[in-house]
Amino acid sequence: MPQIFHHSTNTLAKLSIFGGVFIMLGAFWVVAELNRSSYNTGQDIDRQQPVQFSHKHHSADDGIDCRYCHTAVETSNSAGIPPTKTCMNCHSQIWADSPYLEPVRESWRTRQPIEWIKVHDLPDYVYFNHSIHVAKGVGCSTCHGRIDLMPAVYQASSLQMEWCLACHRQPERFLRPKEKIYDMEWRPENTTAAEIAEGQKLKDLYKVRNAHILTSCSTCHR
Amino acid sequence: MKVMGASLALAGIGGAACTVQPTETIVPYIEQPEELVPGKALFFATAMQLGGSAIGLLARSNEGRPTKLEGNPEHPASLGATDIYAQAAILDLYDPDRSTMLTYRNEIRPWTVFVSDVRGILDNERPNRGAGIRVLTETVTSPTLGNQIKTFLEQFPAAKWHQYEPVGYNSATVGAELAFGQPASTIYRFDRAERVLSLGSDFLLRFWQRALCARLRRPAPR
Repeated sequence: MPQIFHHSTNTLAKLSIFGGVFIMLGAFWVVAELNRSSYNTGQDIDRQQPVQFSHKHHSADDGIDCRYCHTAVETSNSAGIPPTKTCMNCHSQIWADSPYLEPVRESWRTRQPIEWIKVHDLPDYVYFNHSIHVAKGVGCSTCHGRIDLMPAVYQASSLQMEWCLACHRQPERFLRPKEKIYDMEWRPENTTAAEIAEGQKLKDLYKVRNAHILTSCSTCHR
Repeated sequence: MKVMGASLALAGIGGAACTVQPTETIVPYIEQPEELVPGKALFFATAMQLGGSAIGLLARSNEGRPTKLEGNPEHPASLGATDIYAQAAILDLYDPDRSTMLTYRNEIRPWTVFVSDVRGILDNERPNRGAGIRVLTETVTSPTLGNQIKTFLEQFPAAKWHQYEPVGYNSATVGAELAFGQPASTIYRFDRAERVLSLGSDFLLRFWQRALCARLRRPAPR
């Protein structure tokens, strides 16, 4: 009786049985990589805002401190975006006719707020309190990158849980003296042993809780 | 096994990478009120009147939205206590039937029209000393409002002021007059009583009875 299956089916069967495992692992790996891609996290994507506000110009060139506009960074769970009036404090007099500022003037005139795109957007199942991070020695550039060099704000970090955990597991790697929080040029991460030792001292000084508590579920998932 | 693995991988892809978080906006104020820090609650001292007695309240406001009513610990009568009506009163603020503007026979009228109309009516009534005027209010406990109405009645001596309270404490006041010879609000000294007999009186219901009695029984916790 002639064989139904060709001889090569033997090889194919062996290949697919072993290969199936690798294919599955490969699929998981693809998913994991897609999960970390900037398509999913929004990292490093320049976002177009209703007003072409340049932090590079206002922060780095003009030297305006972060807190002039973002007044609630140290006090509130949400750092916040300044009201239109803050823009008009200067721009009712400076560049008062610039077309770039027309949306701001229109907002002021029509009393309709400007709808900014939220660049650093955490999911709703996460509770994030901004003020505690600033109070405990986490600098602006550690999480937000070099905002002062950005003509358009992009999300410099992935904001995924694994990224948060990197600090919550080892806070001494990311703490800086409180006077240097708004210093954008300070190192965003402590890498050498000496720097980490400094970070450890700050962790004790600022009473940052240890990793066991920082990584407890209900710290963030309330 | 392979089918399970493949479907898991596909679900992972769908869950992790294909469902991207929708873009959110940040909508700040046009002119932010000075005390308001977005993300932090503001507390307003206020009072609520019901049935002829007023209770001091602290209204919690989140970004201008009233979210909770609690007692005002500095109010001498309630000492921070609230009754169920005060707790429920938060819903009054979100009542869709709550009147937000002046109406005349169910039609909206601006304030200026009201003023000019009433002025005309009052001028007509002056010759007969206001004999055709009736003022209808709920129980007025505000000394200021009482004074204003008294001034009005001095100008129009023949006018009548009706206070109507659908559920009030008239019976209790009349009963007090029978018992003590003058209309009075009764403060119950339960700390001096061994047994209390209540005939149809829910003395734990309204705040001022409950709070005063509770605090007379034992010292306030510190």
